[in-house]
Amino acid sequence: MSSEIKADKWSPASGTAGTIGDSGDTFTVPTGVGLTVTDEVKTNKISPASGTAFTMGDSGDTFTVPSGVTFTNNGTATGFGDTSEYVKIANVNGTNSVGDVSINDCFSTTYRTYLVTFQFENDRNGNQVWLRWQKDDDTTYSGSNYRYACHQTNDSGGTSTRVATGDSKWLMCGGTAGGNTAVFGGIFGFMYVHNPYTIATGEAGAGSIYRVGWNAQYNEYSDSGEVVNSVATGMLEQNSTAVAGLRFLPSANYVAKRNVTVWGLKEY
Amino acid sequence: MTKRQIWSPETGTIERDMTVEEQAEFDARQTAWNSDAEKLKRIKEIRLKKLKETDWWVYRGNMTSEQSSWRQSLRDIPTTFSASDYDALLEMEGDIPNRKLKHSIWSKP
Repeated sequence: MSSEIKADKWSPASGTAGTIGDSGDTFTVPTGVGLTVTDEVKTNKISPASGTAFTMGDSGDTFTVPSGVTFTNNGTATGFGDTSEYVKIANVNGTNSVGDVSINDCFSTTYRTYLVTFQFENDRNGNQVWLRWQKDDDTTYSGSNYRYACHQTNDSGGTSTRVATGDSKWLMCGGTAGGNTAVFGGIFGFMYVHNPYTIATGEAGAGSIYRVGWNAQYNEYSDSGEVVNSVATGMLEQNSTAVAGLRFLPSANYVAKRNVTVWGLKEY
Repeated sequence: MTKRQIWSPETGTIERDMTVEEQAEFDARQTAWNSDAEKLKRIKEIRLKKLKETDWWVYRGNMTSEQSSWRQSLRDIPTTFSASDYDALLEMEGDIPNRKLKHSIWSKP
């Protein structure tokens, strides 16, 4: 057999199936040689010929993932579209009684807006749920700088407000149902947290008076069995230090059932 | 010592005993919650709610003498009752969802 075959066309010797080489063989298409396949290519893996970079197509090309095809990403995918996404940062949950629940250092310069989902039930009836923001050193802001307004509607149509300027905490609710496994007690809902950490001067929310603003919506199941819808907003009247975390605490006694998740809102 | 549940990027979720300072703050919270001043504050919140629930009686313009007396008795709570009565005023009875304040002063005429 000669060391080089020169032919304009290869075809099966018989029938329609042709085979190149045997298991273990290697065929190399050298640098500078183009290989054009105008129909379907079937292979189990594509890898870079050298180095670690692999490029698909050229500017202007379109690659389509057809309907019904699953495209799985187990690595890091960047630059896909311009949609925002929620990035899970932290979760705490449990059912045993604890004095408070803290999520330290969940806020940073990475995101401007955060989503906090929460469910709480105190260990007994009648106690409230409070929130205090935390500093970088994990201590709380407990001065008189919580300013908030909450509107509540109960299941009888009655309305009420829970407002404060200069409170030492955000008082989220009145006395809630707790310590009774027969009911879904306490409070549950979500809040968006805006600009808790350092943001650049001149950006929206970078005021000189406030650091961290929040708006929330949640259900309170009161200690008298009322379902109460609460819509609340608030701001922390200080801008000297960053707000790095948050702490939920009962007005007295213990938190029993809880589930809190913090998400960062990735913006493009 | 009371337990705290804490999440941090370094440790994930842990539970640990409160430090001496944290325990002191926790204990102070219990003391404040059970203080006469805090109890009276909660009583006034209940009173406000009851008054707002029955404001329509006033707007309607023909309140009965019983309704008028009841609303006045709510306003007089801080002078009628002393600190030794606060627990009784806050006491609840019954099971959720039919749980309610036990003291007769809260019952609408």
